[in-house]
Amino acid sequence: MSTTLQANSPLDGRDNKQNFQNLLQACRAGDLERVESCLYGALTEGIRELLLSHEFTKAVDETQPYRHFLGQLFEKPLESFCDVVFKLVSNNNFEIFEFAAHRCILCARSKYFAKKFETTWLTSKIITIHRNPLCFREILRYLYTGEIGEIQEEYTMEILALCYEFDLDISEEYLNKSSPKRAQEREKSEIQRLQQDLEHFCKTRVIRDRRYSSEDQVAENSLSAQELAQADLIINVGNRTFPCHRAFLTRRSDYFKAMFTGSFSESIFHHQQDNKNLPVFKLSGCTPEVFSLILEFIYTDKCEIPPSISYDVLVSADMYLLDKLKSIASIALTNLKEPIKDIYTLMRTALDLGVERLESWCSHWFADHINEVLEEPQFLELVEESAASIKQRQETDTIPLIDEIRYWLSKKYCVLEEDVDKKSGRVMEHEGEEILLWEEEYNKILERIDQALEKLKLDA
Amino acid sequence: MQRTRYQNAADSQFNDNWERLAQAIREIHKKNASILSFEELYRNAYNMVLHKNGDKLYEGVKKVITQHLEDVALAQVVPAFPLSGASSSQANPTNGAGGANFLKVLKTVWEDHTTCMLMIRDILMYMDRVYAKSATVPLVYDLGLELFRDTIVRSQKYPIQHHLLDVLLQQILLERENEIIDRSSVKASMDMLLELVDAATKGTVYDADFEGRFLETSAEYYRVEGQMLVSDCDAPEYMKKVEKRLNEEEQRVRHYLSQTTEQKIRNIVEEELISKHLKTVIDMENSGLIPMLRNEKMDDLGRMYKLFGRVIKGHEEMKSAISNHIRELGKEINEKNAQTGTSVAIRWVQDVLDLKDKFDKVQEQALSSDKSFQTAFNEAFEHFINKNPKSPEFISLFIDENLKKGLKGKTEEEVDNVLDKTITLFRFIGEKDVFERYYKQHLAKRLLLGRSVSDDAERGMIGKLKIECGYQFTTKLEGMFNDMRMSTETMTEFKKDQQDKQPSERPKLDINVTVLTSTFWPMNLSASPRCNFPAEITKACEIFQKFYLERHSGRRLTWQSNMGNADIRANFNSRKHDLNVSTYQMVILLMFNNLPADEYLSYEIIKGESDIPEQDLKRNLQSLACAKYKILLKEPKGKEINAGDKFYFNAEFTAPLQRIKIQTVASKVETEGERKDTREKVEEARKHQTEAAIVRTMKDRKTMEHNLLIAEVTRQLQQRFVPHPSMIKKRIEALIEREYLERAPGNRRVYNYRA
Repeated sequence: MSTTLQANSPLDGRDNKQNFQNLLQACRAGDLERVESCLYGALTEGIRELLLSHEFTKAVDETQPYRHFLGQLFEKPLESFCDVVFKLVSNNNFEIFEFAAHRCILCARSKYFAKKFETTWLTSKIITIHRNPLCFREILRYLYTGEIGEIQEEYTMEILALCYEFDLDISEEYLNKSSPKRAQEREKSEIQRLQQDLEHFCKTRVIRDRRYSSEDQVAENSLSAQELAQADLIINVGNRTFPCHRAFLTRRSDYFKAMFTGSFSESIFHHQQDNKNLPVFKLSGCTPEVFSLILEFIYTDKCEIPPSISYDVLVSADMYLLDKLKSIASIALTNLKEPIKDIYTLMRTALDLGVERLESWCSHWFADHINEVLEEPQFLELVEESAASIKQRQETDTIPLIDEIRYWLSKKYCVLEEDVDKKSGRVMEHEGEEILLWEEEYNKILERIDQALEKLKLDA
Repeated sequence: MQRTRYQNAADSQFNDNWERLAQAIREIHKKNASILSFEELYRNAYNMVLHKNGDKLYEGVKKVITQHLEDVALAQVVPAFPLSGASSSQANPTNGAGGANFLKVLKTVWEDHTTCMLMIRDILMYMDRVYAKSATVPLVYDLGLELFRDTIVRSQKYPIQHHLLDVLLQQILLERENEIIDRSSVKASMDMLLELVDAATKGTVYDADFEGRFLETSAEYYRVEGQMLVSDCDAPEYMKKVEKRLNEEEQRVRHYLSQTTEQKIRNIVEEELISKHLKTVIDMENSGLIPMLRNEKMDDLGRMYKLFGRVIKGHEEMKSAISNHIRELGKEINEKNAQTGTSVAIRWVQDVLDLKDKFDKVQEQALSSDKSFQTAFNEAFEHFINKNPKSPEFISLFIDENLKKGLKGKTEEEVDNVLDKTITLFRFIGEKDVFERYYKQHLAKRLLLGRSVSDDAERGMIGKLKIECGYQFTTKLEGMFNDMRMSTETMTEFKKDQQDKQPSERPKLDINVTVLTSTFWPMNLSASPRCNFPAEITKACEIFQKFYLERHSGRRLTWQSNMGNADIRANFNSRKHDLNVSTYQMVILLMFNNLPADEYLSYEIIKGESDIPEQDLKRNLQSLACAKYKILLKEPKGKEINAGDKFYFNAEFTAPLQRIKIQTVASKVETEGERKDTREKVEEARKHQTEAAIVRTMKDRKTMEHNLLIAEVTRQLQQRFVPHPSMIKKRIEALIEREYLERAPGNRRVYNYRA
């Protein structure tokens, strides 16, 4: 969208109105929600129509923060724990270029680099390469972000040659950026491939999941020299050892950023790092299984959560302030039919951690089991708290929990809104229409709820 | 029951956790963060918030930080208070060190605080995200800022704020007094004030507490300084000091104040040091604006221009002062050159040109070629140039002088340059028609006497005038050139024609006639000069007249004997000489041809026989008898020619050269009488032009209101002269009388055109 706008729009650049700048920024960031809000604030009818003529969906590109992260790693390696420097000399003017990079990324993305780093370059800190610096930088960009920037015609062949050498699947067509649509598809598949590469890397090298490991003899806690060479710290959780990378941890999580770049004991090791003895940290907030998933998320921006530990992941994600993981976990949790934990624990967690999806799922469950739960004191306690949460703000008659349950009940019994009496909430008799059986049952349940509320001296 | 037990357990858990956290914060304050485990502390805080103890945690943190800051205030800040004397905002140089030390301490305290708060923020990250958001309390870092503001900067217990502001102002004062201060600690304090937010105004504490007082004291400081400088310094020095002050304040803002203060402090310095002393500085005796101009102090002038441009009225004052100065100088030039005479005219123009050069230089070098100054200067020049009624004549004479042949070693380019400048003076003349008249006269003389430097130069000058005044202005001048060319052609033809004729029918002497179109040339047709030519000359004239009228029938030729010249050969005792004389002189000399050697002719006889007008006769006799070459001898001797004078032919005359040119003694600057004459002619011409303009306008518009007509006519005539409304009104009356116009019936202020 941003390219089209720049090419076609007579407004681009010249209109410096804040709104328009916002729009451009939103376009560049692919933030479609903001694009839409710009649309509402369009300066003139003309601009509005121009914007509308570009199709966009409201769906936010969820990979955006992750891609930003990768971009930052590439652009600012020196600020994100890079561990290797490539030195290249330009053929034209003998200018020396130095590109700092992360071994872990290159290993994950290219077999060529993986092999080199495990053999000839095992301990090298500065690696001299005789290639065209500009082309090499674009290859690096591709390895980090899956994108190749605008390149001059003359370099196309050189880049293709480098791709062949480094065993990368980049076609000439991709470099030419033929049609915008194809480019978009390509972009999507590239980011998927990037995630796959990193997932593989994460699972074999960081989490060291046995399923992915080809060699059975990998001992649980002994690390090979190759693994050590790429990681820059070790985190112990429970009985398991994870060789990790600060580049990922600190850039993907504020928690780890504070931990490893702050002023506390964990950061001090950084200064005395030496290759043989990686700093070791112990994390006691979660189980090894949960931490594996957290790492997977940090490295790849996605993860599949087994239902059995989805609750634990949810809590840990909240603790480590990983919002996206939190919502992935809540989706895993709410895709289940039955609660894997005590329903009241779930409900309280939902309320405490502000997970609306789970809260709504619990209410649904309560509605389905209304007859049983109305007898349970824990449920009544919840109702009381729910009422209290409202009273704190202002005097209203509604109790959020009860409202939610009523909603689910009305769905369950297929009650039509127009049949409902506004005041009592019951289904009313209409002329020429008999009250159906399930509608009668619905009324009965409402009756029971009201009774229960009366006991609690609450009015709803 | 169960609940309470649960509650108790939770409480004790909380107390444990909190105690550990509080201890950690204390360690952070002791700069021992490196021994703390982030992982553990974070988990601690997380658990507290998760168990709904966010509020307790928050309050607890608040208390610990407050306590710490109280301790810091007492243990570090208060002991660093500068000694007494800082309590008043008066400068006390001996106390500068104390103040600097105080700021240094405060800087350390502030830096420690922010560093600690960043660490505390890290371990309380979960509290910030979860509790602070839902409870709508400030994030813990901002809380830290608030506490710092209330406990340290605006402490209720200790007069920290008071000392801080005093010390800051004092440090600035010291710096203004040229002492070296520790800018980095001042800057640290400013940054601190800028980062702290004032709860009431939502602005910064810098704005709320500091800026106002800073501006106040600055205004006071510069008020005093301004008065002092004005009495101590001369103008250039004053301005240098002001410039320095402005730079200093700008630097100050850049180095350690808020950018928002820049404009405000600049305004204060400008107000106190420039606006308030504008006139005083301009008028400073021996060093103010006028002396600067007199001594061409371009740097100082440039500085004044730059500085005064910062304030309203600054340039206005300068402009009017300089304009007045120019008028003054112009008046001097006018008075100095009040007499008549060519040399006076030249001197006047040269003086004016020099003056103009000078101010052009000033304008370019010191005033950044400011257009508005240029306009003001031009007005001043216009004013005094038009104050001198002779300026059109002088300027024309000056041009004449420069276009004449054989000028004292000036190259063509130089002359062109001078003329270009002269044109700028011409631009200032209001009465351009007067100038035209003089120019015509001077041009005519140059052409007829063959004295022009070159045709190109003349045409160049006319081109310049054309650019200034348009085609109409120069048609007649161009016509004069045309006549000259045509005459040359006519003479060639005439001579060819004569060769074919019998010798008896040819004139006995070479005759060269220039035929002038009377309307182009400045001459008086009605009073055609009388003169009795000798017979052979009359014959020659008649032959030419016949030749000419055959080719151009219907034309009338009038002989302008006052404009010609002649080459004659005279036999003296020692040798023969070729004399170049005017036509009149030739007539006079020829009368001596048949006279015996000892005889004389009296003035009366010469006058009677030649019939030359008295004025011209006297002048020509003067040239022959009283000038450098005395061809005639006069009795009695003397410079003046009077009735009864006797003239002898001077046979003893000797001269080193074979060929001699007898200059006509001429007062080229007009005499009073001539001037009056010219004046009248100009007035007459103006009447015609005015009437023409009126008729042109009315013919176009048919009907017009009085004032509009006057305005339109004035506009049309402005290029030539500035008509007076009453004069236009008289012309209108005259036209009504002659029935070109009529007053509209019923409205006497509207005129109708009568076809």
